[in-house]
Amino acid sequence: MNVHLIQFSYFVAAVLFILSLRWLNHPRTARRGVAAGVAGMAAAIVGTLLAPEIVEYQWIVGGLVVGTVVGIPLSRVALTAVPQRTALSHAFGGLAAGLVGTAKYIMWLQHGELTTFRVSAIVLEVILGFLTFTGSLMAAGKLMEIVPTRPITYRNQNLVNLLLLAVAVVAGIYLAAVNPGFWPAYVAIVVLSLAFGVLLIIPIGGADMPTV
Amino acid sequence: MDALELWSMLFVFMLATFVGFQVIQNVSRLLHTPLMSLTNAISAIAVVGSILIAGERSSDLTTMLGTIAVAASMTNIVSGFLITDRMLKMFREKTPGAKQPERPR
Repeated sequence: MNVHLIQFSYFVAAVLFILSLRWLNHPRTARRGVAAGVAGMAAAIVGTLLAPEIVEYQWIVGGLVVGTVVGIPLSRVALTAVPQRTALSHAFGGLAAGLVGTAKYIMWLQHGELTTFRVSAIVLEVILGFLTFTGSLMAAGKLMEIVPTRPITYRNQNLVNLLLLAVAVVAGIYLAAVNPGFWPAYVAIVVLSLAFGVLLIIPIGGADMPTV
Repeated sequence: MDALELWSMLFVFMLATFVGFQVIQNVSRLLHTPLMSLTNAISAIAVVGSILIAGERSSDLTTMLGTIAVAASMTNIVSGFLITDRMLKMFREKTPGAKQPERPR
């Protein structure tokens, strides 16, 4: 019974998210779109809390509370600061993705359940997640002008960036196809992705940040 | 995941991609910024994965990673929906369709 209830909550959430984006198309219906998004997210979270795998709730609740406490002031920034807030949010999103991928890798590693498909998915998620994390932090920093806004370039910069990414991808292929349990390769991928995010953004000037 | 399940997932992925394009195609320019913050909030659906990890008690390390991920996603959810609504409230006070003077560049 529970599994139907949980899947139903995800079903409802998906419908509400689609409606939410549709309603955001026109100023007349736009605020309804926010309400639908909130309702969809609430349905998905409540449904997830019913999952049988969950044995303890205190950390979940703690995380939700911290998120709320940080999120409310973050929503009150001046409207001219919206690009920075958006960049910061993207950083949080990338962090969450990277951490979830890392946690799954650790779990499956400990239970010997790593498959090529799973490792490939994880590597992809983690590379994108962590480079989004540091890249978005850099973007936010440039917009807030705590990071130098002038473009920082050096010779062969693009080559260096591509090389970093290539090494991460190769390590990922090695993990997926050859030796999933070789976790130093995983650590290398995380470090490279974090570095790549920073290096990707530094040559971009502060004025172009909103687009980034 | 067996073969049929994988194909079902791929169907969903493909359809969702088309739907995604469709729902944002006619967004009025005035609404681009709220659209960014709303989609950022919705993308925090990843909180579902982190809730499971934070609650499974697989190990201390994974519980910690999961908790941080829950907090990060929840921050996006709360601030994303709130700030989108805040931006949209301003449309009421002006004449319909008028350009917002404070819209950030």
